[in-house]
Amino acid sequence: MANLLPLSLRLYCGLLRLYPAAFRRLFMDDMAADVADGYDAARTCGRLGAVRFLFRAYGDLVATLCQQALAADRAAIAASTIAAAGALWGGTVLMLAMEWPDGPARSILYLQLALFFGVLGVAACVGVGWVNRHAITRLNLEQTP
Amino acid sequence: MTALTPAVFHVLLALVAGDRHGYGIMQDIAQHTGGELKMGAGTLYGTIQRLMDQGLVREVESPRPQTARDERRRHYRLTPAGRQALHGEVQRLEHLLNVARGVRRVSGAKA
Repeated sequence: MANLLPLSLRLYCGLLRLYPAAFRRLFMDDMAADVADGYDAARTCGRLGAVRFLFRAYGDLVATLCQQALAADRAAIAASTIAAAGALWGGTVLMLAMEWPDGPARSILYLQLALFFGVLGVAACVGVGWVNRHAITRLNLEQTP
Repeated sequence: MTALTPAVFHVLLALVAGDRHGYGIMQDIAQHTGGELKMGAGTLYGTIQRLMDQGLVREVESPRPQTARDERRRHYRLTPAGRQALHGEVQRLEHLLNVARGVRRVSGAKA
């Protein structure tokens, strides 16, 4: 249980490899160092502080991965990134919430989890709709003589 | 005049005081906004990438590292064009603020 948060941090550093190569080459080392420093600072506010920090970091990661992937016209990568990061992070927080002692902190974790999956569900629906529309348009263009 | 996005404005503002690495910029932004804006790493470096493409910020040689993590960090500096863009935005905000104060004075006098 005590290893879950450092594990989440390592997972974050692993997910940085999903950024486009040019962005990764320039900024990956800095991002990993910044998140490690931010995590160390957040830990001084207790475990809940560290969880909050990781929530923000993962939210930012998913949003900016999608921006970068869409900018590179890689909608499929964006969709799979949302799914992978969401599932991994959601699972980690769920385990954390299940083992957390009863109290307001646990309720906050569950509330954040519900909100996170709600937003993830909406984002996935919008993403799938966008990819479908894009694929249909592309198919129509290819079939046009 | 095109308004700068809040992320761009805050990054440029943090760099006015001198060269900074990414984490330093994040800390400055949190300090300037009283902790209200905590910029994530992805947002920060995406913004820096755009600013470098536009010639508003450039990378500079890193000074002597203080910690092991600092060794791999890149440092950034505001270019003259970046300073000019920030100056323009500050003027635009000042103008808006004056307009808002004027409106408040008028509406206050009516009340």
